[in-house]
Amino acid sequence: MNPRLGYALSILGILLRGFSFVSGLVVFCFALSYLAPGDPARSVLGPNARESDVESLRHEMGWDLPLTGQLTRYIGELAHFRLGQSTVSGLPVLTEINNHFRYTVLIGGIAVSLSLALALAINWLLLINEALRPIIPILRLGVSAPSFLIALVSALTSGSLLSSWGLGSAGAYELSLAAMLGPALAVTVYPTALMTALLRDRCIGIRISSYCRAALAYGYGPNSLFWRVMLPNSAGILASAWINQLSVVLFSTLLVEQFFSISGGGALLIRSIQAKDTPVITGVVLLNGLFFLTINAVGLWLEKNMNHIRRGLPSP
Amino acid sequence: MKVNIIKKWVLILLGMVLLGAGGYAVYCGWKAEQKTPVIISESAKQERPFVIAFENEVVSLDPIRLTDVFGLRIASQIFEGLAKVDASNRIVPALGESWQADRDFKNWTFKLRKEAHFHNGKPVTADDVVFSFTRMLAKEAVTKGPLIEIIVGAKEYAEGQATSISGITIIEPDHVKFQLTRSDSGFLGRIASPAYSIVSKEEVEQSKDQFGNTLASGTGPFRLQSRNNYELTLERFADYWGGKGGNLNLVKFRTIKEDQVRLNELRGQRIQAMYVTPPLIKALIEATSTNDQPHLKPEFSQFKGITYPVFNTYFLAFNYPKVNAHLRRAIALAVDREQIVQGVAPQLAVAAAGPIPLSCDGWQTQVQANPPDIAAVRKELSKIAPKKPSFKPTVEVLVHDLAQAEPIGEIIKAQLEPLGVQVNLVRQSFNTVIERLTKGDYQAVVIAFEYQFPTPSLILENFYTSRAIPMPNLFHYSNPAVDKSVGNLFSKPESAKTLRDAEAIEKRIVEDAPAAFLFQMRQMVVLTSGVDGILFNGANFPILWGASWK
Amino acid sequence: MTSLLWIAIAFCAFVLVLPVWLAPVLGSESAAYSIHVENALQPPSLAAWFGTDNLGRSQWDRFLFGAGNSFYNAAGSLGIALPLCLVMGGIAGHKAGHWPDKAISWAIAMVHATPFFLVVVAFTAVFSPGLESLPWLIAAVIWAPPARLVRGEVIRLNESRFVLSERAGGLSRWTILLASILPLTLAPTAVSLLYLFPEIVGIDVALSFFGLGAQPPTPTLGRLIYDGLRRWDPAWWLATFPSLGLFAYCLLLHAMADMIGRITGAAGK
Repeated sequence: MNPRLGYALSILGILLRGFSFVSGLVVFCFALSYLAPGDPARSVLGPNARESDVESLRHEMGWDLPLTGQLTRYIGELAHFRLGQSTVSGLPVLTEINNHFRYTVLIGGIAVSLSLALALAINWLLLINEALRPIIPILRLGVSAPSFLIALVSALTSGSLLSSWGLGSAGAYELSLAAMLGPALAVTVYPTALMTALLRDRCIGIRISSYCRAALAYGYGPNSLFWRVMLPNSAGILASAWINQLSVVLFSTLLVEQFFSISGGGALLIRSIQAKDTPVITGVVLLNGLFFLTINAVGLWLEKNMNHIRRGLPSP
Repeated sequence: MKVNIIKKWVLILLGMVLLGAGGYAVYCGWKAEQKTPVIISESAKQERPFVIAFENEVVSLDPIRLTDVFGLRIASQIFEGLAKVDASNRIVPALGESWQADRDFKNWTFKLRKEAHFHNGKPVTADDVVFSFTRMLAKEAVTKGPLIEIIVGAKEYAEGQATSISGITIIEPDHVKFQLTRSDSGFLGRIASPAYSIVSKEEVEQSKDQFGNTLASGTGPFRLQSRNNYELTLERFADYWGGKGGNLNLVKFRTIKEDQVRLNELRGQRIQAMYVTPPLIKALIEATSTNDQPHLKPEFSQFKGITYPVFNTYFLAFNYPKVNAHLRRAIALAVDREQIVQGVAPQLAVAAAGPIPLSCDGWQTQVQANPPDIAAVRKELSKIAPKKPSFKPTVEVLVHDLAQAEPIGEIIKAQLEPLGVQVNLVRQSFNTVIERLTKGDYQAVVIAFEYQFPTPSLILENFYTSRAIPMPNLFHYSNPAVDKSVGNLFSKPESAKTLRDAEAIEKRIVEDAPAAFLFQMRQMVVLTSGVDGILFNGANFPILWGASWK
Repeated sequence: MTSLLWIAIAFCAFVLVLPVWLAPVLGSESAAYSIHVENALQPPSLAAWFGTDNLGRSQWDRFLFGAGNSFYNAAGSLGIALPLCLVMGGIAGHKAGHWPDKAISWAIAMVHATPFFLVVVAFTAVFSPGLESLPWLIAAVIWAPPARLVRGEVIRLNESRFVLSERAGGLSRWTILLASILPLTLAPTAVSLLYLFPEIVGIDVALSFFGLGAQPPTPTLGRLIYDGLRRWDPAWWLATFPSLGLFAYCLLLHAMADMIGRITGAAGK
């Protein structure tokens, strides 16, 4: 077979698999939303509206159709690249998602970046200075404890401290690094502890290996050992763990947003599920599915291409 | 080896310096919170925002879409109707400068205020009034219910059988007449809520979907300057017909959902006002405070607490047709209201056995919140199944996350079970509970009403007559004698006589026991001491027009 | 090694449900539920070791029974999830590359990608909300990551020498899977599920956003922590003691999971 044709077919295969996954996800979540209790017509018109008005709105919007009827209507809209409008606010779904999820993305982004940086820094410090070993039981605590609890307790603590410095937390809700620092700190504790522990285990394993002994014999100091031997050989597992933490961070972010009263993705999702705002729910699920596919693919690529031992040593 | 020791000590010293710096920063931050009053210049006062914290977010400000009290509170600053409720809970003129009703209260004529303008500078016209009321009967309008049967032609218009409402006519350029289907002396009270506000026809037609979202133009003392996910900013409307008022020029309504976060913001003086929810009472006020005089803890010395009566009632509602009458009466007699008040909101709640707010002007309820009458309870319970003396009735009570429903439910359960009534608490989300209520798929529910109507007659008609089934008459309560008595209240002008009649109707409703009415809650608000002149009415709307920085 | 492993697993199961048995011994159920509003929000003292809550109930007793309910719930979830992981992961690994593997992998990805809140709310529409249905709900969500692990292990073990020799000896593939391969995946799966234990308690907190989970007045740890954090000022004790208890228990579980890991690691050599 022509290599280019083979390449194109494999890309097509990947796209088809991705499409089938996302469409299955959307159908599944649409069905879950249909099953969920609640009446969107009643949510729009309020608890005091007359039953005849509620029925009339329900009929007009197609909310009295069976699941297959509603799903067909929705797929028809999707085929025209229309995600619809929120039944709660009347705004387009993409506008609602953009307005809310940018806070979530920023908090999550700061949190995972911080966690990686801290994991590297802590392990480097542990390597160059054995006096810092008492940190290890604290790390263990961070890994053992529920991520939600650490997030909530951190939210409480960082909220009090940082807001008195005028930084982040509930003092300011602007979409900026400083404003989202408090919530990000709350979220970053668990992934930091986990990645630090992972990297430490890996470094200990590399430390007792023969090529590491060879490096020491070459005259590598602790710094060189860490940055030129241990880190390159841990990059794969660290990157995979970092990628996997994205979904954990997302869940923690949704909880922390509630506590900091940030009107982010978590608030949108909870409001939409409670009001049975199906267009927003399926819109969020669709984008979440695409995000999940992406991080999955990246994680697999990282595992395949970075998880090998580089035994050759550069000169010290 | 020597290098390693030096490196070690450098790191230790660096760590100590960092810790010290961090500790000092925390200390500085803490000290910054113990602020002393700052003298603010007049011009700075003008621009300083007054931030009020709420626990819910507001989705739309469009009057016809307002379904929650938080939206109504903000909308009351931006929009006005023909009449409104002032701080003394009296109905006063707003855009309707004056009005006349004929003898049988079936025809109402309003003279529009000439000096009233929309925020875009255009004057209010009779066309705008007709447009606004027509809009209130649109498909997506939540305001339809109270209007649709009262205005001639409204029902036909809402059902698509007419292109306009025949009962609303412009008789002169600044006079609008409303023709009603029946006598209604309470018509003013019906339309005094911000939900029945007058909007600019031109602006609504131009802005389409954005009206109520990024654009909300009314005639009120404040205009919408900007909004985002968590905050709405209002600025004083310089051309307001009511005159200059105070110097509070910039008001921000900020959504902070968590109680503890709001408390922290208050402590740090990053917000200037906050509605107090029951869980925060003990954190804010001293134990020695009384209902009328809340004493705030020393850490809140920059603030003052005020309480005022609000039109609400908290109760255990029954599904009237489905729950045995003797069981309903037994439960209503058995609940210890004082214990519930102590457990839920000891310094704010007042035990009340009837549905009408005790703070209504001139109201003298005939229903007293007596202690539990155990003998009467046992007598009622014995009538449920007279042939089975050991029968223990069971009732499923729905609770949810609002209105302190869960702790109230738990206290009621603890009170009833020793008397032989098995209570099963089922917690569900509020929306699910509402769905079950409208379908009649429940036995009992703990819930509260926040009334937007300022008079007992309107409250009785809109909540306790069969016309209001299934909502807001969620009890599905029906008593033809009560319906007839309530109807008669509107054929006469409101007076002491109609109040006495309404008191008798309330007593009859309580005897029928569609609910065990438990208590009414006063509202507490914590305000910065640096502002004077903020008032609140019984519908819990802040009146900010006359407020000023000191 | 096998008997040691089974002893370790049995010990873990015992520790997991120990709070359920200890609660009535160390505490009083009536004190956990009796309301005394006059004693509301009292700080810890000799009369009330962990203070009282907003309805005057003893927090010590509510903590004991709440822990019992939470751990019983978690143990139930793990007990339901474990065979589910083994079955799904086993079939997927055994039929790697074929349609059962693809279908099960698709289901695993679906569980990962679906917003948990949506599953919870829809679930309660089908089953009534309450402590009884909670283990099933949680198991429906947590089975996915360990199942993936089982799949990987089965694929790896399928190529190992002892399996090849059993196949050469004439045993069917399904017999080898059930009798030889799956028992070897039991330990890592159990360890993986034990590590998920703290997150299961966290799910209770998430359920509170929808007013779901255990029905009042039944206490659970997640609910005690969530309600306690919301009343942090002035009642810091409401969240502190359940949180510390949960921390300590999670540490214990992690230590047990490590122990099982070491036993199986030692046997591998």
